[in-house]
Amino acid sequence: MQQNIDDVLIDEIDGRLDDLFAGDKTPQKTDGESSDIKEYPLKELKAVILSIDWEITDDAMKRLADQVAGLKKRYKDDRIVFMLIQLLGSIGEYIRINKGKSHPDSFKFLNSLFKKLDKVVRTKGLTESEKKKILSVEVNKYKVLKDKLSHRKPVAEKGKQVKPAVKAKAGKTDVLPIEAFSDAMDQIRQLIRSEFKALREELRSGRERK
Amino acid sequence: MAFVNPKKKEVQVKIVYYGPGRGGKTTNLEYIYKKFDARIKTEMVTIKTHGDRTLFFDFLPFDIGKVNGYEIKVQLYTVPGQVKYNATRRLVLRGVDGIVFVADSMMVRREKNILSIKNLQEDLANYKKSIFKIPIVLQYNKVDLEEQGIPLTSVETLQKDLNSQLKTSAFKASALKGTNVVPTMKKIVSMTIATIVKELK
Repeated sequence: MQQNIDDVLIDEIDGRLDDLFAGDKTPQKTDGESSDIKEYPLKELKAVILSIDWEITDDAMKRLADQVAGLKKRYKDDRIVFMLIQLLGSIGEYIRINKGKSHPDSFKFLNSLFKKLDKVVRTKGLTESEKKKILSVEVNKYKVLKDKLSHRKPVAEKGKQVKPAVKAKAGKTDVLPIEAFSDAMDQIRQLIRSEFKALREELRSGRERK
Repeated sequence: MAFVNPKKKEVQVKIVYYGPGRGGKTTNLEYIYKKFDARIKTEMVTIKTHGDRTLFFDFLPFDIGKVNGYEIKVQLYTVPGQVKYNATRRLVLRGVDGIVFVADSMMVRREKNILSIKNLQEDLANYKKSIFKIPIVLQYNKVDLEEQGIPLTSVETLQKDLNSQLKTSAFKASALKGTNVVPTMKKIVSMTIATIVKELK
């Protein structure tokens, strides 16, 4: 008898909960659908970036550096992808040094860079000009972040020296993240110049042929 | 034991979402709040750091109405998952009636899940409660990451790691997408109230 009363009570509670939370149309099953996951070259990089988003560990940062190095070799002939990977490596290096004290926007930038890299690598039929546009947007974001980082430096009191906001540990790395960004910027500028030069030459030779 | 106010004929049920940091505890509550805020008519309280991590706890109360003449008030809490907030975690667990253990299905987080459930056992023991006696539901979160090629721990392994002794209900879930968030919550509320009713007799 008591068991019946308990069951009635539980049914009543369940009924109340069903009423209160009715209309949850979210599918309760998730099935994988990507067909080319096995071929996906950024799989490991994505796993590392998600790990960093949750917790910055030395192991994760080392894995990121390894992934960046590997992908740079793989995409050495694709300059846009190479540049995006290089920027990713630079921001990774900044996070490795600063860990939890990194600027919150640096994580957003890391994720944004990955998304764009993913888009460039995975989208078939993306034109060079579209790729360049994507790179240019990321470079602008970098500029904004760089600006924020420079404003983050402690305010100098009279007679006191200002310590840099980002400082590499001696012997641990030979490139400061900001310098690495600047290097990447220089390379991007060179890339754009060389592309324009090649384009001009092509136009000129076309005219001469006519 | 739940807070019972015989004068007001009111029972307060405290459910705590527990689990490793960045496992999706807050996301569970956020989903419930965003989806049903008009119906539950309460505010979700959340205290976060600038890095979007739970600093103290999240709190989502709602009423499910009168059952057996008693007004049932459910309070959902999350604990901060980060290891360094052990003291806060223990504090939030004070007076807990039911637990949702939110495990992270990512393969790289397997060890963290095991450490966290051990941590839960210790924290409960601190309040003279047993993990084997308190109502508990397991949720294996982030199953959606499989679609993106992220290596996940299999359900069999998660069951072996976390549920071989507890032998309780477990849900594969994606708190981000809302998959099995509500069923998990309904299950723990139902289990907890059933236990409270038994204890009150």
